[in-house]
Amino acid sequence: MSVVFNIGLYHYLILALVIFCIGLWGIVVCKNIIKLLVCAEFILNAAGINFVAFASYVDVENLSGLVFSLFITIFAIAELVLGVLLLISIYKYKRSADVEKLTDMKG
Amino acid sequence: MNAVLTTISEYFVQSIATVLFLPLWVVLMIFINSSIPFLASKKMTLNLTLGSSFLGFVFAVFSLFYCIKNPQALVENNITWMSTDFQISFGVFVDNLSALMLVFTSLICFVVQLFSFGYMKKDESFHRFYIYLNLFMFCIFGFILASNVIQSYVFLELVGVITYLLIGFWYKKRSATRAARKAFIINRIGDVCLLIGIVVLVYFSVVFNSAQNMVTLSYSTLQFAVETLYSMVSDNAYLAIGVLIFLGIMAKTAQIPMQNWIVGTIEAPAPATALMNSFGIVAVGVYLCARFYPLFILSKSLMIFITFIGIVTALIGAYVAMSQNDLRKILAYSTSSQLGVVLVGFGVGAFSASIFCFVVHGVTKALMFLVGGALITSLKNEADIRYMGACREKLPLYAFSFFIGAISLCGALFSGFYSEASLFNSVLDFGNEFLSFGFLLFVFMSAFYLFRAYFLIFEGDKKDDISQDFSEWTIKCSIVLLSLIVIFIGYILRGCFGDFIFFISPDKLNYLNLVQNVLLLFVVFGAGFIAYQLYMAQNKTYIILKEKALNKSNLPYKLSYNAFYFDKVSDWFAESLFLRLCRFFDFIEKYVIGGIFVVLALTTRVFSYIFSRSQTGNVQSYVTYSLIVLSGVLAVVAVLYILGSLMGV
Amino acid sequence: MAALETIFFYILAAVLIVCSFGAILARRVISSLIFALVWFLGVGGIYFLLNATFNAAIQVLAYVSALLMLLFVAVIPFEKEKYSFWGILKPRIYISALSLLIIFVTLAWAIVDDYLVHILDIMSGGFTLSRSLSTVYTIGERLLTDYSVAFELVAFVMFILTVSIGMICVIKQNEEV
Repeated sequence: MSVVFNIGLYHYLILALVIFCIGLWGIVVCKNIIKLLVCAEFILNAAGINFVAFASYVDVENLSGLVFSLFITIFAIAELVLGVLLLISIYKYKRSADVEKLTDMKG
Repeated sequence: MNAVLTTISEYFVQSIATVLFLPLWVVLMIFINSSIPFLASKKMTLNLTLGSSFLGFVFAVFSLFYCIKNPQALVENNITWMSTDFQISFGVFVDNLSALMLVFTSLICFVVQLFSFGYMKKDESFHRFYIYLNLFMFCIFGFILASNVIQSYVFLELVGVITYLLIGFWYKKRSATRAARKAFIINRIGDVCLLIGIVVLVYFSVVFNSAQNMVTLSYSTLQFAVETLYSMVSDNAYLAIGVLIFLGIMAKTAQIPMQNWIVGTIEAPAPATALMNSFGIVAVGVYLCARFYPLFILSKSLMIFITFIGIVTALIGAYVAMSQNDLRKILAYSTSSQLGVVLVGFGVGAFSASIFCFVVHGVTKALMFLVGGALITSLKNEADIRYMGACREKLPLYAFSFFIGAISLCGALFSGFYSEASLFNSVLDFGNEFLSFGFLLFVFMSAFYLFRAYFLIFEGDKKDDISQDFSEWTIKCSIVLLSLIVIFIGYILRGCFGDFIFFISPDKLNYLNLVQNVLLLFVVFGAGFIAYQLYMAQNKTYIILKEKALNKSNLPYKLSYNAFYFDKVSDWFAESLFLRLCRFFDFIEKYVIGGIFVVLALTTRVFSYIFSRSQTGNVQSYVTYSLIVLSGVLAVVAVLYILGSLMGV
Repeated sequence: MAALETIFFYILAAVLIVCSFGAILARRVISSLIFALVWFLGVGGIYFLLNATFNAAIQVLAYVSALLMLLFVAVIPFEKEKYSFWGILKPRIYISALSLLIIFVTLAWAIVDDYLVHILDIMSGGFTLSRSLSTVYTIGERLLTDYSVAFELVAFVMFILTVSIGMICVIKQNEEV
């Protein structure tokens, strides 16, 4: 029972893992490109939770994990912006935001 | 004078390889000659060929002289071809036997080439025939002069090939090509057995030869090699090797299981048939038997086997020849049975008598085939003797020479008398009553069919006057020459064969035993008398007796006429058993072995289909594949970890 | 109080999980974005629980306010998309779910295996949460001393990104004209 009530590092790690797996499943399932980008954000932030958890519990003097989590956030945002730009281009070309219609590399 | 002759003969013996390569050069010359469009000269071809065979004859005579002068010496020149465990060489080997065979072979070649000028003059493939004749000379001389067993085998196969070419000379005739193919295939079967025997022999003699560093199985050392072999292997193995080698000889000399190719030789032009049946491919068989005699003589059962095959073939051949109507077929079956008697002589141990018999047979059979060929062409290609009659008035030369040949072949007069008498005496000395009785029966049947042929062709009532005279001087000249040889050669060489051609020690040929000779002559003339009564005098009693004997059932006649249905039986065998086997293996090759390749190809196609279908353009499916792999790897690692911790590692 | 921490942790965990499922399975894009909005807030809460206040602030600022505004703007043309019912039968969904389940179980077990062994360490304070509130100071110190190169590089990259996007937009506008 103390495991459930006294939350420690491992709880955060398992939570991050759950979010990560759900996000990955979302990438495979989603048909809309916007949803795809949102799921990519989920994955990146789950990794960030992981870093921050380790930094808070283990690396208390240096807190390097927090710094790295910042970097992750920045890159995630940049990637999201680029994804939206690509979406706009594709939409102009294919008139739909469906991932399954983007099969030019088939065969 | 003597010294001059000795020097000359020495020179000829040392350079006897010239005899071998001269015909090849002549082939080239004939080829050039015949390719020139308008200046192609038949006389030139004839002269070139006659020149090469005459030169061969000269070389051979001088070699014979040399061998007479130096009784124990033999000349052997070898060029080593390859030398590892065993040494394969090519070279020439001149001893008594090969010199004598060379003399007769070149002589008969000369006569046949002279004859074929007149015979083939109007043929469009004149030059091709002479090319074949020269190639034949090369092959047969190479065989006679071969210095070791392997070289003999090479030239033996070459002789088989040239026989095929000669039989199928008129290749536009369907029957000719069929006969050529049959002859080649049957000889090939014999060659394969011979090859197996030779290979086993080489295998066993490597020990002997590498110790002495000599050419493998050269004829000069064959005696010792064979004795070593006899001490090394068991009796049955030795017998097996001997039988294998003898099977090759059987195929070549048209003995009983493999005898139906000899009838096919009549499809060749008449001079080629004469050549083949006298000193052609059958000579190859007999010469090989003589060369392998040291091997055969060490095994008693093998000698019995040889004798048995010989006498059976002799009787069957003669029995079939008695009822044939085609002159050439009579002569072909006669070849088979006469060679059977020669092999009986070998089996009985009468080496010199057999060789004598063979040589005389060769000369006589050549004469008869040449006469037969000229006769048939004169009668506008009528070969059935029942439709010929009273040719003696129109064609006296042919009648006379045919008569000489027939008498000699029976063994009554001229050369045949000496050879047959010596052989008969040797057989009697051997002691087996059945063998002696079989021999007499053979003599009776041979005389019968020969006289029957003579009476039906040259005597009797005149049929339609359809003859035209073949008045070509080369034909007449060659026939006269050959007749003279037939008359005198036996008398001249009767002493030679005992003192000169012998096995290990000279044995005297016994042809002057009064009682045996009288018995022989009685049998021959008895058969002649019966034939005379049946076919010439048309004696009613005899004819009625004959009808009665045959009317009971037509079976004896039918068996004889169809050559014991041997062709039909072998065709049935090939059709039902062998072809079925071939089809079975064809099926296996196509579907089982081919099926493996089909499966391989299908695998490739299946996998390529799978992989190309998996390349959807959809990124999500690619992610799915990588997730599958990742989960698989992690699962495997986890399972291994659990197993490891369970086992307490 | 430890109990408060526990309650908040489990609430936030539930929020995160529900919102992620919601974002994936929502029919309309807008609803998926709303779920994502709540999700980001939840992650901010997690950071706050971990005493990473600065990170929580950045989360809310960057994601929730600015980014979702952007996404809302971009989503407007797609409002009318509708999805077919038969998409539920795609085997891809189930295969990937199964493999992810396997991955999750394996990795979780890898994490927890250690945990079960060191459970006493946890109780006796093997890994304890830092209680300092001056995370901002520490982060700044890290950025400008140990990770200054990375900091500069990231800034540079962001700058270049902004400039190139701007350039592309300007050129495209010029082409249309």
